[in-house]
Amino acid sequence: MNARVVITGLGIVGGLGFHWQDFWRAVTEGQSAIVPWQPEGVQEFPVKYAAPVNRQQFESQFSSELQKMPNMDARTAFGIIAAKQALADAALPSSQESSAAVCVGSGVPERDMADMFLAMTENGPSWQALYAQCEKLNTAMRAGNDHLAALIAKKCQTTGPVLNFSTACAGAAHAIGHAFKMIRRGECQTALAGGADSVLSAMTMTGLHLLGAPSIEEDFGNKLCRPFDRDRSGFVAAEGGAFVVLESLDSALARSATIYAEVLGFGTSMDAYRVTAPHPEGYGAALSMQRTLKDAKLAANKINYINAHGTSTPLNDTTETYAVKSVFAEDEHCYQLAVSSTKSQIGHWIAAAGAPEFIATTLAIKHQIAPPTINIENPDPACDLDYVSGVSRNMPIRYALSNSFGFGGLNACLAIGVYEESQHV
Amino acid sequence: MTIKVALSRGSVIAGKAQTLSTLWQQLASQTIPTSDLPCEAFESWPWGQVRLADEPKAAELSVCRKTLRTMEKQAKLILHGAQLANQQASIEYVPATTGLYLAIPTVDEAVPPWPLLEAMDEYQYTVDDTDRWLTGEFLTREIPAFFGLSTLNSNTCAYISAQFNLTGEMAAYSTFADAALHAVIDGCLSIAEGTNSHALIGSVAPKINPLLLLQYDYQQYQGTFANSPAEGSAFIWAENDSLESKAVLSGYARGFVAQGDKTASINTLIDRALSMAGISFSDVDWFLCAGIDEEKHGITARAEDKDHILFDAYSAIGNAGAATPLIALNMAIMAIEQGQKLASDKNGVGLSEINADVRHVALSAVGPEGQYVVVIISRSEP
Repeated sequence: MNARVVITGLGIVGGLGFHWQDFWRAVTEGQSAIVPWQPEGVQEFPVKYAAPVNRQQFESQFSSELQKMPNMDARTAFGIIAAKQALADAALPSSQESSAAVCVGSGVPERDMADMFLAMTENGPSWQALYAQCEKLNTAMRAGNDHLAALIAKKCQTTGPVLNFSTACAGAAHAIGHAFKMIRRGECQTALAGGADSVLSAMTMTGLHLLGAPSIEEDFGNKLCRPFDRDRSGFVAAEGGAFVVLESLDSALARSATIYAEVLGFGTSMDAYRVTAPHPEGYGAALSMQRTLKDAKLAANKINYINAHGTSTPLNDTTETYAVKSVFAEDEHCYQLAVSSTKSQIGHWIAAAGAPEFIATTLAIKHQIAPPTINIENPDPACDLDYVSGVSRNMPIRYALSNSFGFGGLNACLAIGVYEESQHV
Repeated sequence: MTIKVALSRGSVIAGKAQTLSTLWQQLASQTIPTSDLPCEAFESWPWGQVRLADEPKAAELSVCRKTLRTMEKQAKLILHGAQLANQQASIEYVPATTGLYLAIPTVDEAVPPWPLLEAMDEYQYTVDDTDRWLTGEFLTREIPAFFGLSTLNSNTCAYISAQFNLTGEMAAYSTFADAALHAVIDGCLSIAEGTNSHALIGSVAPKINPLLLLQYDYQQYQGTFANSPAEGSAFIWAENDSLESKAVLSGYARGFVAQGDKTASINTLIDRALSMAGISFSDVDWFLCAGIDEEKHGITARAEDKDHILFDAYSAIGNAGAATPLIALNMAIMAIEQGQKLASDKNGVGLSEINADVRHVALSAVGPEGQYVVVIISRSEP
């Protein structure tokens, strides 16, 4: 069985809004979610900018839903709301919802300093003090990393498969890719897939800072995230949740669902290089794109647009450019396609990053608009592709790729196409 | 839908046992070594003795000391497991088309790290003081330099792929036992669907530490958490058309059984897997189960008068999280290869080694919130 798989529901909660319509409007207008930031309760933290969710607005807008749910960490709350919105957007009948697969990309468990501070006593830290107050601990700390996936599954009352992926910054792309493959092979008819993450705590950000990953520059203000620019200096951390509903074309047609686009292929690879750096020539990144094209049965010259991983780190953006140039070398197609980084606007959602970027790619196809890469003021000579600099562009986009390259060289890529009645290949 | 992907034994580290045959003998003779709990426990914690694994050293892991500092115990255990699987591989794999499918628990490290809490105490910090002096300078000075790496569980994929030059398709799953069978299924599907020529499939237990104890408390000692914690890791190899391998993955099913009649839902999934394998429940010679009551009741009822079907892997091996299903899968392959299995009574209690013609083994795993996965391993017929 090889079912066609289409996208019929979108949900997103992030720094650019709490509905996909707000997100898409902001993205195409070139807005930025990046703002001055310091971790709660910490002074003079070296990382000065981030792209947080406006917690006050979020809690106010979704207070009734949040009150009904158990005490949870921020990323789980973002994920639950985004998943709920995707389901509402898809308007699935409950019978279909109750057999859906749930696939989630999640990263390092979000932990608040306040949890471990429960261990502090007058005589120093004590495990017994922590144990005695364990009821106060954040659920994420005790329930495990797949808690979001299980909560969503319970909310849908599904009997379908529930999977949780841990592939660093490629986690959500893996979740969407595996959901696609499960539907294509007939293992399920419908899937809710995506991810949620937040690294905006003092501890996680300190850990990332000690690795030199986030930018500590202060000169560029909210223009700090500048993929493919000569002055890029690291990623800008962010948070949020994003989910999509995927279903078989037969199922979508039978219920006259709105179809945003069709998922055509998924490919992954490993760099087999270093934990802390991508392969310098983008070998693994290129492999994942080649495998995706093969899986989608698409020739490289058919691709019109790539939503890049584009982190704004010195290493990623050049190696990703090399990878694109090697995959699309024939007839110099690499210079004819458009490439943009949504991270320039929303920052890096880490394990969830693939989900908002998959949504951006889907909407790019739906609306035939390539979203921009903002803040390229001094292009890096080593990054010489068409990055849709500054403003979005109306252009024909029949086929597109969405790249996600995880820390340690864990790469994933998804191919999406315009939904057409006749099969693409 | 049908599937036939050849499986070979890889490696087993289970507590102090570093090989499958050692573990098998320990289980058959019911002489499993235990160690004192390596951390402080709360008063009601039921297990003073647990099944600790030895922490692999730098020389065993073939990594430099700097890299070693980026690895927690479970990252070391899974890398060591992969090395043993590589040494013991009976197949010739092609690194460029060999995939990696891992089930990896989160790294349950105290955040802030314990040394930072101790430093705060040394500087007479109180929680109410936060606004006064908790600064970026203090945090970057007191938090270990590689904290961001050591707490990122997916780094194990990078270590293994780099050491064996694996560049095939991959995936990594978290957190509990069900993750291991997702790795097995998707690893085998990658071969059946032609994206990999071989797959190295592995898993590891979470290290036993105070934060793991809190998970047991949260799970109210139910399901797999009703068993003593254990450490370990395990690997298998998957490939197409192997003449050497005597076992194949022949069926699978996965679902979520949180609501309603769990036994009925589990039976439905088991039947789906059996149907894919083209067999019925009466053909199952050994069922290495996930160890939850709803499942055991169903299996026992369906086994009728057939003896020695049920084997509670978690009760026997201990709750080694995602490692347990792959340790059990190695046992299943060995049972098919050698015509022996470990038998227990109707309730899966008590063990002895018996000769048996093992043609089909069912193997299941659960997550604590309702995830259920079952695979069927069958003898490869020419």
